[in-house]
Amino acid sequence: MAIDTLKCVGCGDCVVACQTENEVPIGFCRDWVVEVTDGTYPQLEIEIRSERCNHCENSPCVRCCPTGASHYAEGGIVLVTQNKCIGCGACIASCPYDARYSHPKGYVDKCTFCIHRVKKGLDPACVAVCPTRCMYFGDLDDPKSPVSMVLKNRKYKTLIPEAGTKPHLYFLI
Amino acid sequence: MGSRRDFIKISAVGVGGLAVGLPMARSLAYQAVEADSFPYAEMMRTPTYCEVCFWKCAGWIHKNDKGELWKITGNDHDLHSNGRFCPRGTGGVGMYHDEDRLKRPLMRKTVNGKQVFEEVAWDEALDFIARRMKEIASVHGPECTALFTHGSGGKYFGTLLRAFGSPHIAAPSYAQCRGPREVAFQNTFGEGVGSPERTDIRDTRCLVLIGSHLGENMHNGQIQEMSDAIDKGATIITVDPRYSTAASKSKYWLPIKPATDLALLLAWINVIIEEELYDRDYVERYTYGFEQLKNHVATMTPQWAYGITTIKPEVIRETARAMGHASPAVIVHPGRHVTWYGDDTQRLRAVAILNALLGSWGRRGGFYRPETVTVPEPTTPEYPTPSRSWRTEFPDLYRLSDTVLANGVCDATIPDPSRGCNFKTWIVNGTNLIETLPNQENTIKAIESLELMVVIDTMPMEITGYADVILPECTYLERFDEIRVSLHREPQIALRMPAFKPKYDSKPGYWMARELSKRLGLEAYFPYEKQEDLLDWQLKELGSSLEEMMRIGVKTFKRPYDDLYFAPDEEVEFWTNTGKIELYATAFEMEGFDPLPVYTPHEEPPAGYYRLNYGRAPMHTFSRTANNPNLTDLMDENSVWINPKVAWEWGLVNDQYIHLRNQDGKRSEFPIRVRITERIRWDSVYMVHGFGHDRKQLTRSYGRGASDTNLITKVLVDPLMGGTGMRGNFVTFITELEEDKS
Repeated sequence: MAIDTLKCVGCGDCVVACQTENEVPIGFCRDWVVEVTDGTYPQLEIEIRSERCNHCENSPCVRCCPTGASHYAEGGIVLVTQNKCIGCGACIASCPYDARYSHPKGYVDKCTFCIHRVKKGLDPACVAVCPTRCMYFGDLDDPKSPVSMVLKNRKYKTLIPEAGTKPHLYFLI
Repeated sequence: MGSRRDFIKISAVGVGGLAVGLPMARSLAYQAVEADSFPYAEMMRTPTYCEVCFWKCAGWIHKNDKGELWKITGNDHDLHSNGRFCPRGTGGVGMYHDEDRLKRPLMRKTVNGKQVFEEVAWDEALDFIARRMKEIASVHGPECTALFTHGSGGKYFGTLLRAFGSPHIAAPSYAQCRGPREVAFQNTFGEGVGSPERTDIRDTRCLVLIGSHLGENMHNGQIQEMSDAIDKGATIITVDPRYSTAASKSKYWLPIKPATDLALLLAWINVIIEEELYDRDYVERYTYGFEQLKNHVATMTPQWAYGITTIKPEVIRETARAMGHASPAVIVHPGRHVTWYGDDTQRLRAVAILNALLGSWGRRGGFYRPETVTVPEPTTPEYPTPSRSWRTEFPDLYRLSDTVLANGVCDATIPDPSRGCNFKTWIVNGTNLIETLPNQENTIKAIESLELMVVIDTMPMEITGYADVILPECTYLERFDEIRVSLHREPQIALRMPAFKPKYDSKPGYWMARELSKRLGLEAYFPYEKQEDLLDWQLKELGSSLEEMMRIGVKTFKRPYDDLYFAPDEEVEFWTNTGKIELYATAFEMEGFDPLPVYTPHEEPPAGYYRLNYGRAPMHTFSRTANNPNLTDLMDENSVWINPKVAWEWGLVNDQYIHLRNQDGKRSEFPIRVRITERIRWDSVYMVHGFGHDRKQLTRSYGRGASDTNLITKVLVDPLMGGTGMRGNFVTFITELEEDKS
């Protein structure tokens, strides 16, 4: 997934859409918005980012999971099998992006890239709802997917690349 | 009747106390009977249009496999949303779920010498209202009844009021919001801007925003188009003393000194004329008064404006050239909430003039010609002719206002020996006047003078605490409403229908208005008992049907002519006195106002005070969403933005709670969190509107943050149309929370 920080206005629609689509309880979230201000008045810049699980290729959360609940699903999406998860929280501690939370029902929850929608050919809820259309989703191995196309043409960065997790959330800058 | 002001607390106890002691069996039995009769329970997806703000995006309400509310999404064919709802629309589910909703009709009663709200049956509440309306009208005339309304259900109460004999239907969205803009554009182009605005942002090459914080105000279609414009490389110029989200997306940010925008606009006009950047053919063909304008702005140079606005002359020139080079695909955006300093109509006139010079009105990438659908109305008796109006009470004031002023009605409610008529009855539908009208004490004084106040709302907003009768409306997820027609690129209609039967004992506005009409002998104005039958008839007249609209949600018609923009060389007749675009406003001249805008300096904050600026957050609509569980999850209080230099002088730290006090000594009711940020100038502070609720029934928002309206005691009234300028208030900080109420 790629997110255009030049278009995002930080409205939080991605957060609400994810909460309702995935019935995430109020008070918790699978995605969130970060706003960073740089400079002094009037020489200023703001970067606004809609953040979520980076679906890393080298995921510490998958590696440290004692039960195998955290796993790679098709297309490299990192998922948690709810009934295998014992809620130990090791994955929460291991994630450099703080992308996971303890669901009140006892398991650890996180962004699934809305795999239930993706399987039907739909975009994840956050991508589908975004009023600024600042998010691009698709198969990175397919050079014609919207996300591959935009990454070919634009400057981008990943967050905390030094953690070595090979994140797959790209921010267009 | 004593002072109602003291009653807030008492009424709070009344509602809370009675809600606990509610006879549950009765309400459960009621629901069991109704469940079987709800005909749309099987529909997994029902069409609606959103009621969380005025943009009215059309979408779908989805149910999960248990038949419960799941999510709300946009309708792909809807021109307002293009299938994408904003956070408030997506979070509309919270309006349905909010357990603080108004549940049953409430009436103010005296029990053991104390006034409390008591739950009553609908019949009792409606009988009482109708009886009192008739009694009061028999003494004072029906014209002393006023309706304040915001939102969809207002139409039916409007019908009721007109049938009753009163023309006094006021919407705070005019004189507290976009009125000056409409008057300015009507007196320049002969037409207002309308809603949604007819701005062709998607195809613009230059977008100029003056204090308009698109992206923080979540006017869905406009945000989407601004994003398209960014993609296409349009130049965005933002004028704002605060580094807004829009400013961060802009090529040029002009950090203007607050209250000096008109000087900048005049300097831009000067450069565009002096450097001949204007659209010569367009100006010659369509406009009136160019020479007068040229002479008028001759001395209003960028150097002149620099001293006023603090924007450097070369920046003023460079941005004027950017506009000129993009002409006619340029939009100097008229904004929406424009009641700032009392000379707002004149400021918006300068905006209109600038657009006229750049030839953007009626041109691709500028302002398009909107189209709409006219919904037929059933034949009903003629409305009685009112014998007097609020205008007779303000004979020489606000003559250019083309609508009833909410603040005018409010002022005319307070008894005054110079006025013959005072309003005695208010019906308030879906607008929290306490937070909407500036100068709360004035509003409360007016309310205290009333003989009857009825409030229709879904939530126990502040205004309900002053009512004699509170009627709980069901949310937009539980009701039909009028067909949505709007001004857009293509004529389009949208349907709202109930996805669920009304929760608790709430009812739709149509039902309430019709029930009242029966009790007032005005049933003939509501010929359809069921709203769905009315809608079906209307839709069939339009070539659709209720059945079809329930399936498709929105229907788009063809424009009768291919005239979205002016054709080359088209002769256009404008609805002004001269038939031309009036750079020189002849109507203003006739009424004794400046026909060309003149800059006048505004008061500046005294030492130790800062101008109070306020605005919006993308996840909230005014004060109405402040208790929405989904949206408070994103933002549950506001903060006061303070420049680091100012914070240092005052010894303030981030996240500290302070009180604000304004120039009149008014102290914020609740403390507010400090946000120290470089994004605000040192001479002003900023806060998001709609917080600091003081009704305990709003459990999620009570006492969270501060209310800006609370601090807006000084109102700068626009002499042309009565707009209430609210940006002339200054605040200082109180760091001691000696009486911390939270």
